[in-house]
Amino acid sequence: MIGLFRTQEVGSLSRAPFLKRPGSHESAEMALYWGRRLNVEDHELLYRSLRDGSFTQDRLLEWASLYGIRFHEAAGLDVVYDGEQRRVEMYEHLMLRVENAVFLGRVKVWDAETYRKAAVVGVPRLRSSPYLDEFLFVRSKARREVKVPVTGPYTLMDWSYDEFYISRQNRDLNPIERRRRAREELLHDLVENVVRPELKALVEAGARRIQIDEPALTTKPDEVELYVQAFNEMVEGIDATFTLHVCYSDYSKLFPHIAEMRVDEFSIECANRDTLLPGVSDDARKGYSVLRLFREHSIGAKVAPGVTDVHTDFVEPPELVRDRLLYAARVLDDPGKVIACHDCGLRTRRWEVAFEKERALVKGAELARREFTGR
Amino acid sequence: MTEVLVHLSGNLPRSEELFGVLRRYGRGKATWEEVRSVALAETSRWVQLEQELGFDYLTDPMLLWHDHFRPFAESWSGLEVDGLARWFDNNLFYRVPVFRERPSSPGDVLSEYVFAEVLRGRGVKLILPEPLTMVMLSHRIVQIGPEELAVEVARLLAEEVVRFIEVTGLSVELLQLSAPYLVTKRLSPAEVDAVAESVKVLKRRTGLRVQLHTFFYPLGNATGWIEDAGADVVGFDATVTSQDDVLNSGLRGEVAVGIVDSRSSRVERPGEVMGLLRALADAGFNRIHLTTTTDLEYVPPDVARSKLIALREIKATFLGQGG
Repeated sequence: MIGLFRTQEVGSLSRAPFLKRPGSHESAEMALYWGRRLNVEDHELLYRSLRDGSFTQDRLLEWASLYGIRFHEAAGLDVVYDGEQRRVEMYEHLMLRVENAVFLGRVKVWDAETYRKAAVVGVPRLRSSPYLDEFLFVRSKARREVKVPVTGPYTLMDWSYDEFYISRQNRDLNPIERRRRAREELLHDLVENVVRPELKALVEAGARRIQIDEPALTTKPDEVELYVQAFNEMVEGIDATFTLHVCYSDYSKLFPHIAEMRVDEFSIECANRDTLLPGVSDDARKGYSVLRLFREHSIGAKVAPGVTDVHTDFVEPPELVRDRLLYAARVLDDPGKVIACHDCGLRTRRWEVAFEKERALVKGAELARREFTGR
Repeated sequence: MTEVLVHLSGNLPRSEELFGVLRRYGRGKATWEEVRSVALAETSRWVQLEQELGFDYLTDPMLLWHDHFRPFAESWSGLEVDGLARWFDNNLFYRVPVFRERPSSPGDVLSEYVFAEVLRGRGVKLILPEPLTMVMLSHRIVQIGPEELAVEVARLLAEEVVRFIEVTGLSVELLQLSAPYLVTKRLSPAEVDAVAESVKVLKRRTGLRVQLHTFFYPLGNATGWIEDAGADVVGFDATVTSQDDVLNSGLRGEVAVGIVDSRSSRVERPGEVMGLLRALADAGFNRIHLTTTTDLEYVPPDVARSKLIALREIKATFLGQGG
């Protein structure tokens, strides 16, 4: 039974340290170091294979997945996954398995950072499962509750080119209306043919917690309402607890529409906009002001406000994590509605830093819990 | 007879090689000279393509510009760069300039970022941020109102252009001010005045013709004032602006039509856009600039190349049909 301030990860970790130049002395030592530290069973086998060169890429990814699971468990999280060790990137991993998605090349996201972008050239359909094998492996190994991160249909749409749906629209329409209709059709098909089938498959295989990742959701605020409808259709009749993760966004754009959303939890980034000052004053906790909107709009879902910033190596003291959770509980007027997690995936942090941040998250949640339960 | 010109209204995409050397530079594993060397080679290839396609103005592909504001935000005194912010409704982010003090320019910023040595043999178009757009997408700590600050930015940009031309001796013929903010909503009268004053400052100091180029949002949001803002050419995004909005905009004479969608991988066919161009010609626009909606960095290099070719083909088709 998980009590107040459940702790959970958001998704990605950076690649397991032994995946850097596998076969080198350094990679073997990393496998040994983290194997011992995280108490990974049989890690000496990995160490030996990295020393004698008998490893295969598939086996290495399996080991990375296992280390990812144990990473979160050793840190003390209540809900875990594998740090998305088998995924190249959240968008590409899924779109590679979609029929009528053609990758055209890399485009800029900021400065010198890029991603591989695909064009939708026909009705998208899932060709093979992006997550099922990964989930089955995690479920077979995890000693804690599992939550599967799934890239959401809106982000798939917004990060893709549309060469098909726009072409089908009547050219006599106003260009904005033409584009609106095209995007509505594309989103619908991504829901029906790509994400919903995968959600069903995951739940049939035993998944009980699923996180839908939608970093793009507020990119075009006038489409949030459309997304809420699409989300509700996507999860209709699927028996699982759904978390919606949206990060680095203007959350005010989600309201009032998300009041109609059939979602159990919202996971949002707050620590990145907060101060490092201690306490639960409004000034100290300004990164959490958005939580007022959740209360004002009577959002029934729980909220997982990020209490650790994944874009800095600074390790939050547990007391700061505690104060952020207590403030969130006060604003939402219910500690039972608050989940403790990071702002986002820890992919940009080294494992050493990520682990310390996760330990701080767990300790901070313990401190917050004591304020209500005395233990 | 309508005169038709073709040129770009934004940057061109970097190759994977250039992204790679920029990342290595960021990690301290490549020198700035190595970055410039790769960027120069790519710039040469892009400009050569512009020449081969017969573009009426040559533009620098702006491969060293991380975003519209960065060269100035990093070089001008009184400014800093802050964290990332979303560039309008795109999966593209820029670093927010912070005006801490009244800005001033230490020297010739443009020569560092524009490869003047390859922009020879034809008239050049320079692309700069529209001052109010830059100010409104920045943080302001300095106690100067946004409109006054925008005019101050216009003065500094004008000095940059003058120095750039002095240093390089380039034949700059058109100055584009990239102005997406101006069509995001109806501007206040004070903002409208600031835009017009900025255009006036830039024209007077540089002596250049100015293209006020809007994109991402419909031109209709700026009708009623943009035709009187003093620009020689007003540009609009034809992928979000209806034909009626243009014809009812009050614009006359000369217009830049963002006919090639910079954010779409689908390459335009001439037949799809002839209706709009025909309507503009019939409405009395005697000079039509065919151009991209904005930067082409939203598409990979191969797609961008096809879109440049499409621009030429659209012009040829239009002229072939009698202009």
